[in-house]
Amino acid sequence: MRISTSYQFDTYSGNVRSAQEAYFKIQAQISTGKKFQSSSEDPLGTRLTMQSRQLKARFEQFDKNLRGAKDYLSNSEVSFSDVNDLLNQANVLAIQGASSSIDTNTAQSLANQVNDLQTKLVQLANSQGSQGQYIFAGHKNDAKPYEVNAGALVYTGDANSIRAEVRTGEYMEINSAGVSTTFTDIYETLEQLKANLMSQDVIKLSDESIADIKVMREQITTLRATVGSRLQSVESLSNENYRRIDEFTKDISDYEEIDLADAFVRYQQAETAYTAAMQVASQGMQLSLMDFLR
Amino acid sequence: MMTSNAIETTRFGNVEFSIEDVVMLSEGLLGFPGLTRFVVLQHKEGSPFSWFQSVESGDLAFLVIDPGHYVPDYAPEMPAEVASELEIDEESPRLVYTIVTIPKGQPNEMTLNLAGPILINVANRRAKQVVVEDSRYPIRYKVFSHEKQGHSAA
Repeated sequence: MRISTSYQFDTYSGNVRSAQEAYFKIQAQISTGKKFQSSSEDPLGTRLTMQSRQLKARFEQFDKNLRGAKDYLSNSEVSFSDVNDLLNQANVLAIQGASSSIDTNTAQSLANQVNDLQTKLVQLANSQGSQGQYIFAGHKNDAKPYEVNAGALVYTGDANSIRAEVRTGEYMEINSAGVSTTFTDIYETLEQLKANLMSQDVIKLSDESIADIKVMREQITTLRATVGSRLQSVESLSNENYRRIDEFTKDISDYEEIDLADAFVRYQQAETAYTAAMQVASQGMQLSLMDFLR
Repeated sequence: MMTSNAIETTRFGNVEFSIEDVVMLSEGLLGFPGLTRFVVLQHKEGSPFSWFQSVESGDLAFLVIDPGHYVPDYAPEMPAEVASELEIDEESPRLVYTIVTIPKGQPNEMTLNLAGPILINVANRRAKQVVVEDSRYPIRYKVFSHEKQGHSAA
């Protein structure tokens, strides 16, 4: 089944249309249009009361925390992305080893490349944030959390999460607690791949190594998308924060309104294209519906 | 019977809502497992933007939009377990939102998270932020730079 946006349904489903009407009715009941008007009508003088100064201080603290969160999350995202690339390379090496009758020299060369990937993996598992902290170490983030011991990757960090207060009483986990098994599993997968290449075991390469790499790639893809989405939420909050702080600080009444209105104007310009796309969509509806039921 | 509730928000002041308006995410938003209940507030009449306002934390509101406004053929694959969790089927009325990032003072740089849509079953108000693994749908989809060339490139 596919996720579809509301209006796509609206074009062919009366059922959905009535549900949407109900939805928008509810939305109208709790619409905040008025409150926004009152915020822009408020003269700056009355807004800079004691309370808003406190609010500003609070938002500045959140901003600091959000920057810390971004540091962790963006470095994690980059690391996961690099691990994903590394697994793609390992996959290519495994396929090469499995699909051709390779001689000992070639096998050795492929195994050496896997070895390089393992070294790279350890570096990525020991990634550091902008303050030099090891981002995949849990609370023990002042020492390298991963080391190789007897052909296995060993984790010496802990499983604690690091949390940042991003709004009053609301904390978010900014590290990826529990990721350690993924790193050690990947190392193990690469170790096996290396052994299978060295023994030129074509069956094991295709039946085990390639399958294992696939599982690892799926895990990393999910981790990356999850961390990425968390980062995007933080960025979104962070930008709201900047605007709010500036509103408190400078003589401009509503940064937020300016940005959103401008984005909206651009949206209206794009709407002509959107209407055209809608017509195409309704013409192709039979096909889309089939697509949908997949 | 409609039960009325209210929350004091830093952004909108006092917001009244009924229990029936509350969207429930049993696992919260990604990274915010404690935030499970939200109301959707339209930014302004006629505006495509809405706010995903937490009912539990008055300070916390996320700017969201129906991605269909900018990506007309947005239709990522939905995992079967998500469908059963939300009790959603082909017939279920649903809404999709994505979190919007607008860098301060740079609305042209607006991005949508197409890889993490919030899916709402309108019938029972259950919702979930879904992780979409599809290279066509990036985490930071730049809306305006894609206008001319279509959106297929990640």
